[in-house]
Amino acid sequence: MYNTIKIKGGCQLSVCSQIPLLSKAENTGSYTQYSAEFYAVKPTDFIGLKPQLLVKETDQIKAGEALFCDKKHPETLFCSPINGKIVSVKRGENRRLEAIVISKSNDDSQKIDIGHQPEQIKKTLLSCGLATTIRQRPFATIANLDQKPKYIIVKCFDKAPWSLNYAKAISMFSDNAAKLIYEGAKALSSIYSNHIFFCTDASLDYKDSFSLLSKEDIENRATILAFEGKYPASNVSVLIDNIARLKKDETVWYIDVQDLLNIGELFASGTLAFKKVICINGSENNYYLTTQGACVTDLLKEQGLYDKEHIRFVSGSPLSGSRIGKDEYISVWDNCLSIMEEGDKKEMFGWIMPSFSKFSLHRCFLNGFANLLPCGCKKPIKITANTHGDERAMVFTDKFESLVPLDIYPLHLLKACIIKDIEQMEKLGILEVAGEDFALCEVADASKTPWQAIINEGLEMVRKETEE
Amino acid sequence: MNAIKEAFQSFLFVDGKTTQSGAHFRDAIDLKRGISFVIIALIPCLLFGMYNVGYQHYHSFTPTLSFGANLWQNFWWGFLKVLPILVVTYVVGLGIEFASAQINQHSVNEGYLATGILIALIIPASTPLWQVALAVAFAVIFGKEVFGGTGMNFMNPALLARAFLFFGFPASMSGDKVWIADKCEAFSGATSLAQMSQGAIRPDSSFIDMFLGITPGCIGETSTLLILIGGLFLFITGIASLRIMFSVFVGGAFMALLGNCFGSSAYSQLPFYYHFVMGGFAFGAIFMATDPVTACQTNKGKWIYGFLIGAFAVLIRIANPAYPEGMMLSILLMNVFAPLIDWCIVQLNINRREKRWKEAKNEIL
Repeated sequence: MYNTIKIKGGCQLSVCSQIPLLSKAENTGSYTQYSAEFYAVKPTDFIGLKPQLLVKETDQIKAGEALFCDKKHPETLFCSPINGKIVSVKRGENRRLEAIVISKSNDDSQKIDIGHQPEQIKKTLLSCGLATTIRQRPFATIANLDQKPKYIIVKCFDKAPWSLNYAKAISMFSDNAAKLIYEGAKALSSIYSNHIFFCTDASLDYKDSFSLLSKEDIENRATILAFEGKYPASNVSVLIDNIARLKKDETVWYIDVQDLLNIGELFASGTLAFKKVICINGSENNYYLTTQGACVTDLLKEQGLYDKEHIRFVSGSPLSGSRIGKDEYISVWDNCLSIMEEGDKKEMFGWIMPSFSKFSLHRCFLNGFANLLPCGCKKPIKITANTHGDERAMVFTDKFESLVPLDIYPLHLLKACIIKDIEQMEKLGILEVAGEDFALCEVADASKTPWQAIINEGLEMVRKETEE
Repeated sequence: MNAIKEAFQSFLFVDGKTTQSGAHFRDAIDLKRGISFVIIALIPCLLFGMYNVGYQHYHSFTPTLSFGANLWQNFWWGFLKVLPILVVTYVVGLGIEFASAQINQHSVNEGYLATGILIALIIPASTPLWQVALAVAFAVIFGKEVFGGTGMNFMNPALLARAFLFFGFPASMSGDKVWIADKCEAFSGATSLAQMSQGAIRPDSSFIDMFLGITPGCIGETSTLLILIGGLFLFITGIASLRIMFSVFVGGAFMALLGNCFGSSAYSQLPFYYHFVMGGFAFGAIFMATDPVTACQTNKGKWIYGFLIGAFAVLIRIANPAYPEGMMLSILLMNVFAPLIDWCIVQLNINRREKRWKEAKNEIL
């Protein structure tokens, strides 16, 4: 039924944190409602955004009301995910707007008038804040709804370690997921009569989530693709590379299926909600239905991890998520909370010992051989945030090509970014990638070079140059 | 003295440093571990080399001496001969590394730990120590540090040291006198390569002797068997590129077979497998050509790079009467050309992208 696409290369990591988690869910497959006291919208989550604040502290606000807008596109509004009161506006260096914190008051859902004409859809999405959940490539910025994309991708799987099981998350999100997916896809694809691709994992059972996509009015515009392969098969760059590569000045919109479900809910019933299913460390028993931007404090207190030292909290996967404090918030793009030990202890002669318990992709550790085994046979290996060595010159560079399943020479692109040669970066394909695509290279690199930061910096340079 | 302090600290401990950006966990591998695996792979060659230096010395006085006799005596003599060379390469090389790290305020890279032992293994045991010191200093300063240190050099520093000795002190590095340390004057001591370049049909040593390494030659280069064991270790642990190792042998065999077909000299008629066990071919293929810094960095490039090293090494052997051995020059030559090969491969990728940019192929749409 689905078109299957096989991705070669990459590596499926089998890792664990060995931090014990408690579960309130009744059984595997069920979830817990998680309602935090505070929620936040973080302008720093959005690439290239120049925020203009539209509210002030102590203002009462409803879900779907604007908190700030983009100075360059004032029609794009970033809205509150809940009803409540603005308790603080956090600013960082140079008064850079970092987060707008809202304390939750009561029921979140909000009724909104909607229309089904393309212009009305666009206007509704922009005004209620759901448009900011759509991103575009190149650059992973918020999608420009005034420009027709080549096609739209709905990401329905994630291969990163500890990530959400999307099939499960969709069924938890709503009993009526098929209808919401259908409505969402219809709304999104009708703005410019675009083709919409649902990218799914060939090994997951989505049940009848996509069953309504065969309805006549969308049949010709929606395609379901099943991807088979190892991480980073789920990265948007890899999806684009396998669906249809871009020509100059073309863009692709992409959206997470959970955000599409929110859009679907809006167009199916006129109810606006910013729901989200998240999990902790990918644990089957720790799925939570919550709202975007939830504070993790209560969750960690519930788990008994709030007061523990030497523990790192990451919003997103341990490969490309962002580090958060124990009183901070899940990023708008992330569907999981990763918790791992810092591992900030010295280890005598650690570099030469024949350790069985250390995580490695290289065969000079015995665990490296596990990568030759099929995914299911691997025993998860504990990881910590220790770098296992200092930054050195790049010497062992043999592995990188096989870890990036794109038509790209990673090392040469990295070097072009290091020397800040914009022309060369473009020639080597920086417009086809995002920093996350090099997470595996960064992990495997013996020289401990910060790949993602360097590539992101390169992308930022190219983006600024393109804007000018 | 920060660089020195840091170097010793990182030798003793894996630091408690944690990730600050990007991926939140890292592979357990670091440069030190990778380099120390190269050293482990070289240890059989080093130990055998020490033994063989002693054996060749005594053998030149008593040609009837069998290989296994006087095991400890042979080893001890060779050990005393080789150890000072090792000490000199490390003291001089690491001294320069530490000094330059201190001057440039960067950390000491562990790359030289492998280079030091490699230099000792590719020179004759009779090389005067002051020449070794000079060659090491030249290689480390002009082959590496002036370009920015480990990871930035475009030529293999160990081979550069050897090339310095070869061209600077030819009397210590070529001819028949140097390959056996303190040999008996009457004993010839010519290597198989020298015999072949002088027009012999086959070298005096048998194929199996050359394979096992019971021949005069550089300290660690003689035993193809132990080199292959080291190569197998490097392949299994994933440190050295199999693409390069394999293609060097293919390239060598190809050129030797070409010589068999079209060459007129006796050397060019030598069966291809003889080339693998003579001189430094195997050692170069396994330990030198695979140096990841100076080799090609694209996977396709590695095939071409290795093939050309093998082919040029044999070509220099059979076609150039001035140099009986071609491996060192061939690898250094290809070190210089490796960036060009990579450039071509990457340029193909760029052209492909530019074409796609203009006319994207729609796989599904």
